[in-house]
Amino acid sequence: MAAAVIFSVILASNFAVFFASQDRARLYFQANAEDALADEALALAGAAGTNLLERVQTFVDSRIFNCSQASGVISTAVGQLNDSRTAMNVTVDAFASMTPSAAAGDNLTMLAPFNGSSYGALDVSFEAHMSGSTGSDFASYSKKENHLMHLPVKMDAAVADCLGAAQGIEMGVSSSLAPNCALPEIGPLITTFVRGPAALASTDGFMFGLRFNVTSSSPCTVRYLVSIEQGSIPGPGGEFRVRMQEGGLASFEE
Amino acid sequence: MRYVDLAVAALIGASSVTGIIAWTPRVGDGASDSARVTSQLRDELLARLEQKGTVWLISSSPDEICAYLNGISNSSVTFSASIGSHLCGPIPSEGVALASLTLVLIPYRVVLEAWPDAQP
Repeated sequence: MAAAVIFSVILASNFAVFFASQDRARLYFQANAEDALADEALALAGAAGTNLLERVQTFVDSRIFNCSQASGVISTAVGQLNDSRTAMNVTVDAFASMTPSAAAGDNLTMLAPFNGSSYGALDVSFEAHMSGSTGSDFASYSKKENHLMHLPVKMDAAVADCLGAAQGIEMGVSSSLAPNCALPEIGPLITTFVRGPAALASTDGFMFGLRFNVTSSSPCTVRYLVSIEQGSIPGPGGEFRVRMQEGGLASFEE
Repeated sequence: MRYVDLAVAALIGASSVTGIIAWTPRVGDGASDSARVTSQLRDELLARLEQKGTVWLISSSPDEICAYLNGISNSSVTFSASIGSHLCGPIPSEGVALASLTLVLIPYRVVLEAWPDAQP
C-alpha cells in the first residue's frame, strides 16, 4: 500500500514535470518559428530595398533630366516602383516613394552604406508589408515597416547650380546691350554671366557645361543650354552618373 | 502474504521507474535546447548579413562569398551557403540544429546556413 502511494506520487510528479517540459518545448519551438519568420522577413526586406534602389539608380543613370523638372520626374518614376519577394513561407511586398531630403538614420543596416536618408541626396523610402506563417499556422508573422535609403546624388545642389546658371544667363543677357550680334563677341559675354554658377558647380563636384548659338539678330537672341553632370557616384549596382540640363532663349537689350 | 506484498511493491516500483524513464522531461529539454541554438545561430547569420550588407552580396562573386564564410567559420560554428547553383562549405550532418536565411537577390538566390560543430 505504502509502495503504491509513494510510487504513484513520484510518477504523478514526473508526469507533471514531463508535461511542463513538453509545454516549454512547444513554446520554444513556437518562439523559434516566429523568430525565423521575422528574421527571414527582414532579410527579404533588405533584398527588396536593395533591388528598389538599384532600379532607381538605373532610371537616374539612363536619362538626361531637365533641371527644373528633375525632382518631379524622378519622384513620379520612383512612386511606381514596387517589389515582391517570397522565401521560406514569408512574403515581402515593398512600395517605394521619394521622400523629402533630410538626414535620418534607419535600422535596416544591411543596406549600408545606402541606409537612412542624407540631406541634399536622392532620398527614397519604402514601405515593406511582411507576412508569413508556418505550414500548420503554428506560428505567424505580419508587420508593416517603413525604411529610408538614399543614393548619394547631390540632387539639391545640382538643381540649384543648374538653375542658377540659367538664371544668370537670362538676367545677364536681358540687361545687356549686345555690341554686335555675333558669336565671337557674344560668347565671352555670356561666359562671364555663368562664371559664378560654374565655379560653384565645380566646387560642388559637378562637371559644368554651356552651349549656345545665335538664333536671330534682331533682337539679338541666343539659345543656350546649361548642363550639369555628377559622375562616378557609388550605387548598389556600381558607379553611375546623373545628368541634367536647362535651356532657353534669351534676347539682348536693343 | 509478505512475498505477495513485496512482489506487488516491486511491480509498482518497476512500472513507475519505467514510466519515469519513458516520460523523462529531458526529452523536452533537448528539444528546447535545439530551438534555442537554432535561434542563436540565425541571429548570428543576420548579424553577419547586416555587417556585410546586401550590396556586398550582389556585387561579390560566389567565390568571394564562400571565402568570407569559410573565414568566419570556427571551431564552434560552421557557415555555408548556396549562391545560385554554386554550393560552398561542408554539408551539415543529419539532425544538427541548422539555421538558415534565404535572400532572393539579383543575380542569384542566396541561402546562408549555420550550424554548431558539436551538438548541445
